[in-house]
This record gives sequence, structure tokens and C-alpha cells, in this order.
Amino acid sequence: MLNILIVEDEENLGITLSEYLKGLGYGCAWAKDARTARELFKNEKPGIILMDIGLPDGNGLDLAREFRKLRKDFVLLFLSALNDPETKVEGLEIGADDYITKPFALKELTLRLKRILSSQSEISKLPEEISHGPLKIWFKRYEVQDAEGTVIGLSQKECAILELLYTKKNEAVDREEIIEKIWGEDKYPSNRTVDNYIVKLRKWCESDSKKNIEIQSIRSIGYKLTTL
Amino acid sequence: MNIRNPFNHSSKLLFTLSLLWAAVLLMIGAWWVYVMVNFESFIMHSDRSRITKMISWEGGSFLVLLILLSFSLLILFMKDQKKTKSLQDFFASLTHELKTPLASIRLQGEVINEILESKNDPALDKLIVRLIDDTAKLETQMDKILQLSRIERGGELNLTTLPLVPFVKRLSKTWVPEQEVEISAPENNVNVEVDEFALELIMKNLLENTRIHTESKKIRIAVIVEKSNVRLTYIDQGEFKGDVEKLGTLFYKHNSRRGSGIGLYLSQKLLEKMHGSLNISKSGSGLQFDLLFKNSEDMNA
Repeated sequence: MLNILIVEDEENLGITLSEYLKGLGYGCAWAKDARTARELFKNEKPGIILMDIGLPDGNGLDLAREFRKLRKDFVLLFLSALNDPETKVEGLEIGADDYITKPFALKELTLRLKRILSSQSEISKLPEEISHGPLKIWFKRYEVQDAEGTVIGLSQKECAILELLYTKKNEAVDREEIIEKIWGEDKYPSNRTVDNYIVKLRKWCESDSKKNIEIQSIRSIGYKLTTL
Repeated sequence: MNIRNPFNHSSKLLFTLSLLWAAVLLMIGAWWVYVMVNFESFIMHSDRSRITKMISWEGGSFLVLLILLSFSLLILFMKDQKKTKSLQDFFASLTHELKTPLASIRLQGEVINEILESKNDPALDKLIVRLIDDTAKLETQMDKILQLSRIERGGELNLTTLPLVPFVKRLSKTWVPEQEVEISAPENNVNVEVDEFALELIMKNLLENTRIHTESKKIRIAVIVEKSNVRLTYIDQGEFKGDVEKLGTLFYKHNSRRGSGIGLYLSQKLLEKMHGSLNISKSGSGLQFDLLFKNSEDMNA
């Protein structure tokens, strides 16, 4: 499986980024238009897509929507010069895990990619399907199933938080640890941001009245995931 | 190739006609004032039907010219608005178009920087650091133009909760590493409701202004929590001899050829959009900037 697919119409930017990431040892491919991106997406099954919005033969937002319909098991990051909140919100609503504006700091981007790939590698060690009563988790597909049998899609960050809590089940996980592992040192999510992610995960596990999976708040520390 | 400015030709014609109409109106008005002053003798020396004819012709012409003048002024105003909007759109799209090649330059600069780290060549190291610094400065200027254009067109911001103190510390460290930045703040988390990108632009502008316009090597920043607000006081400890009242006016540049004159104006507008405000006052010989933010509810959570 290809690690990273770069969809970028600016030749110098696409080539330099692709060669740099290859130099770091990542499997990386570059598509300079939507047509090539579709082919590479179909044939190479990338784990991360860095998507530009203005493409010569289409719009990156529409292309991302098309890809999301086909597969859920990839992380989507927008890499665009457009900086208006409306486009950012639209990008995040498609299921992007981040919206990086150009020009971007290379170190910041590589750290972000490293973090995602390490989370994907941790996830790959877990079983394909995890069941606790009616609740199911498919980490690789970024999906969970609630007690009513509804399949819910998770974002990369939601999935990474769940994976962190799940692999440390029955242990209290510090909020700071969640921030550092999921966001990194340079990002500043507030405690409320972490809480918002937990709310969604808690809503999912609370659909099961028998509490086969429970996310508890540990006062002044963070959270603990317990299973029956 | 003959390049035409779509606004120039018709606007000039309309402006000349407006001047002509205004001159005729002025002459008719002056003539009427003269008639009013000498009304008695005028009545005596002219017959009634001639006076009625004169009043109806002159009055009619006056009214028609007045309407034409009003219309031409309205058209000129609308053209001016259109021209301003087109210029704003042009600068916004130009700036946007420049961002991708700038991203490419910065990326290549950073890759070269990494390669040079293993080469141990101080001269090249210096050059590449300067290149990256300059792309960052260019990026900030472009962001200012783009944000100003967005805000002037009624664009909104994306407010989220942000821990203020680590954010300001990180920016000071990366943006003005040569300055001694003293930050005093409460020990607990101070969260504010802001647009992260807008706040970054505001803080970068203050730090950049201090670096460019003052000799000061020390900046004092104090974060104070008030009832529903958070106040960030920024004191540059420089020397300012101009009129503080004029700071924050669009395109105002005090005694300086550097800068674009949009930074503080934009900062005020951005803070207003974030339900805050910016107040500028003198502090000793330098300047004090009071930034007011909306306190986030989850403070100290």
C-alpha cells in the first residue's frame, strides 16, 4: 500500500514534496491533475492523501468527496492556498483531518504525517474487527458500530483517540498525553476541543445500555476506557 | 497590443459633462439671484408673458440639468465602487496566485536547509535562513492583504477556543527570537474565543512593528483575566513621537517608509470580528496595545 498520495498541480511544489518524502522513506506518489489522482487512488490505495483544491481538470473538494464514497480507510489532508473559513469548513465536513494553508512549514507537515503514519501502524497491529457486545470497532476502516447496528464514520483524530484509550484500557489517560500524541507540541487544542472529541465517542458507546465499553472522566486528569 | 482601462474613458467623459452641467447650473443660479435682487425694476421693464416664459424655460432647464447632474454623480459613485471592488478582487486573486509559488520557494528553501545541516557551511546556512525568513515575511504581507480584502467584503472568521499564553509564547519565540519577551500571565489556562489564523496575524504584526520601528530589544506582554474578557497588554518599550490617535487608520504610516499601513487597521477589524477590541495608548516613550478578547467558558477547566 502506498503511504502518501500528493495531488498538486504546481509542478515544482509537487515534485519537491514528493522527492523529499521519498527521501524520508515513505512510499509516495504525485498526481498533477484529478485524472491521474483517480488512477493512483484506484491502483495504489494510498493511506494519506494531500489534496490541493484548485486542480486543472477539477476541484479538490469534489475529488475528495468522490474518494470518500469509494473508501473510508485513508487520511485526508487539504493543502491549499485558499484560506477562507468557508472553504476550510467545507473541507473538514468532507472528512478531512486537517486543512493546511500554503505556504506551509515543512517540519510541521512531516511531523503531522509521521504522527498519522505511526497511528496507522499502531492500528494495523489491532484486530480487523473488535467486538464488545453489540459495539464494534473497525480501526482500519475508521468506523464503529453502535448498539442499534448503525455504522458511524470516525475522523482520523477520533480514531486515534479511541485507539489510544483502547490500547490503554482500564488506565487513566492524561489530557496532556492525548494532546501531545494526537495533535503534537506545536498545536494548541484546548481541553474543550479534546472534550468535544470524547463527547462523540462517548455518545457511541453509551448507545449500549449494558456499558460493554465505557469512557469515564477522571477528574483533573483525563479519561479512562473500560470494557466488560 | 492596446490595453484599455475599462474605467478611464467613460469616467473622464462623465466627469467633464458633470463639470459642464454644474457650471451651467451655477450660472443660472447666479442669474436668478440677480433677478431676485433687482425684481422690482425687472417687473417694471418687462412684460408679464415674457417673464412667465423666461421662468418656465429657465426653471425647466435648471430642473433637467439638476436631474442629469444627480444621475451622473450617481453613476460616477457606482463606477468608483465597482473600481474599488475590482481592485480589491484583483489584489486578492493576485496574492492568492502568488501563494502557491511562494509555498514552492519556501519548501525548496527548507529542503536545502536540511541538506545543508549535514554540510557544515556557515555562509550557506546564513543565506538559506535569510531566504526562509524573507518568504515568511512575504507570506505575512500577503495574508494581511487577503484578510483585509475578505473583511472589507464582509467575510466572517472561524472562532474556536484557544489557550492564549502558549500560543503567544510560541509566536514570540519563532517570530522575534532576538527580542527579550517578558510574559506575565495567570498560572491557570487562559482560553479565548478567537480565529487562530487572525490572532496569529495580529500578534505577528505587533512583533514585526516592534522589530522594524523601534530600537527596543525588550517587549512586555501581560495577560489579565477580567470578568468576561481577557486583556492582553503589549508594551513595545520603543520611542514613538507621532499622534497615537492616527494609529490604526488605514494606510497611515508614521514617519516611516516601511510597512503597508494596513496592519493595525486590520488588527482592529479582526478583533472586532472576534467580539474584542484594540486600544492603542502611550506607555512611557513607547506604545501600549491593549487587546481585548472574549473569555472562553471553559477557562481553568
